[in-house]
Amino acid sequence: MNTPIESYIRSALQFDPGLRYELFAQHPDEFKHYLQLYAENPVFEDAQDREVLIENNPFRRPLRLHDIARQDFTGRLDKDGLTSNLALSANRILLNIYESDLLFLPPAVSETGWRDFARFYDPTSKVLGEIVRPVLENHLFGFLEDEIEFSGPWTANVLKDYFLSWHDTCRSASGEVATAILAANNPREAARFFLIQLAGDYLTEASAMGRNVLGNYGSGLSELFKVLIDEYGNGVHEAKHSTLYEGTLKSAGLHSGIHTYWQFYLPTSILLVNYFHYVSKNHSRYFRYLGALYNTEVSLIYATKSQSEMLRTALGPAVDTRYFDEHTHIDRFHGEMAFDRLISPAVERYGTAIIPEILRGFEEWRLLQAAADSDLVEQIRFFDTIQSTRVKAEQLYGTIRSGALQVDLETFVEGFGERSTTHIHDDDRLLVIERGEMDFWPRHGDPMHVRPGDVLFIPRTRLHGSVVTTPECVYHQPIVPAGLARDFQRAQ
Amino acid sequence: MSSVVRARVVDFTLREANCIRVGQTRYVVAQLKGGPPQMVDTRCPHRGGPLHLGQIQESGDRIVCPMHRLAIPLARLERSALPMIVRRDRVTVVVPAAENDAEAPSLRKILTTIGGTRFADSTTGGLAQEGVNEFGSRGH
Repeated sequence: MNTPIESYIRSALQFDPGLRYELFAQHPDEFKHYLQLYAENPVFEDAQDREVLIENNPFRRPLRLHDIARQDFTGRLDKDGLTSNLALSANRILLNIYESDLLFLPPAVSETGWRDFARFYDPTSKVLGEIVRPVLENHLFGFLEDEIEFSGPWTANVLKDYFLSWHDTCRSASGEVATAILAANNPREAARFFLIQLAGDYLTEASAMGRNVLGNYGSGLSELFKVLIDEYGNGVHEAKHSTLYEGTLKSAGLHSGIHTYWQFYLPTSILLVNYFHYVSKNHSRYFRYLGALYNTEVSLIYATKSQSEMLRTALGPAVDTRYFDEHTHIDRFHGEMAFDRLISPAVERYGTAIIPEILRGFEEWRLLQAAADSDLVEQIRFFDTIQSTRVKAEQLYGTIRSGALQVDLETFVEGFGERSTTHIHDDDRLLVIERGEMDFWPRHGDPMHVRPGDVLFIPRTRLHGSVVTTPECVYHQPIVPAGLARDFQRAQ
Repeated sequence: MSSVVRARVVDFTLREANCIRVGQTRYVVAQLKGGPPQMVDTRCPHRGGPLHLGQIQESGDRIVCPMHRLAIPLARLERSALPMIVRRDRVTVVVPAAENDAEAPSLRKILTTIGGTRFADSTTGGLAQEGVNEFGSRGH
């Protein structure tokens, strides 16, 4: 039975979507109005044809305004929705809102850089972002409340033993991502795509943690500050973890600027960055943050070791793995620090009432990390098999053209340079070029150039983008019926 | 945090099992009072009858044992619960050290009337006999 004080602590820590969300649930048009105003900031405009990569401008973060105008974020996604176009939009917007709390400066003296600096930190944009943030948080993370349940007597000792067992789980993990990269047709490009997915997080590493070292809540703050000091290289810029990661990117032949690869982040890669901001910006979720922190610090001891080996195999011995090797070492300490100096003293001080929140953070992070791993493996499979599924795609389009299969062609006409900001379809589709040509990106790097008569299969939930390279391009994107889509999966 | 792991962490899916046996005690997944699922000791305190085959009274706070029709407070079952996490149909149970001294916990699937509709699959597996449907411990 809960004591009155335990009940009080539990209710204070409970997820509360907030009155603002309730307001918008009753008046969804008002939410859409404020979201639209926020998204109309020019730094979020659709990508231009030269913005496949966005160099030297950390403020330029294209959204797809015409998608956002149609999308409804007032409900909750479920776990299967984490790879949807809705999730991609919500994650991009939410990351922009969270990162307007962080400081970036233009990397060089440029009119564009300072103009967009002013736009990104514009006070009106800031207020609009705060108005819509709770709805987007509920949209992306609300489902976790139903997805994970706890029962039984979770005492301090049970929690300790369960958390200790996490070392064994991580030590024996199969390394799904590393295995998929090394088994890919082109392990080098798959490994580079993996590094791009981490860039959105690691180039601003521990920024969310920084939110939890302000204020004054006793010795826990000082202990967390020690972890933060490590993350920031003891004040030596060359040793700062984000600087180490810049070295990894450069050694792999990739750009190391903030969000240069904005267009190529998978929704779940952004989701992981957003989660730590979500539990850190909202301080009633502090204990959830501690559980997630412990989870990630321990899992990285083992994951970074196998990732370092994978990178040397895929990219050669010249790749700079110091970022990964540093974490194999230091996270052994950070895991212990998180439990012995943060979690354990907090439980001693506040009692078992806070354990469900700590456990929730641990389990939520575990679930989201697994979802991100699966998403990445699926994307690797997509760009690995896009060539091998072409024959089957052409056969299917032949069936459609003959009239034997009746589906809407969904025809688009675009002009030279017209770019589709990278996006996701929630159905399996064909891409059929009728007239003109375009460049097509199933991942970063050199595009596939597609011409009249070319047919590609684009599975649902897979990120892609394109730029028209002729005065006009006419193309179709018919939906592939579910039964036929399964044939493609078998072909993959 | 350098002590030896004492508790046993057991992972399984509800397709595999809905019951864990620790020594002579049998814990069964139960959906009581609409709260989160719990892993409770279902031995009747009277003569050890199978409360997982009992009927919850309409009042919602007692279960009637099928053996001698005694109404047992659900609170009594709840007090026996093991620490548990449920993620859709994946379950993790932590068997504390005191419960854990003898043989390794074993998993099985048994017929139960208190699993709730959410776990319908796990309520139709039929009564397990000793040595049947054993999955062994996945504990660390």
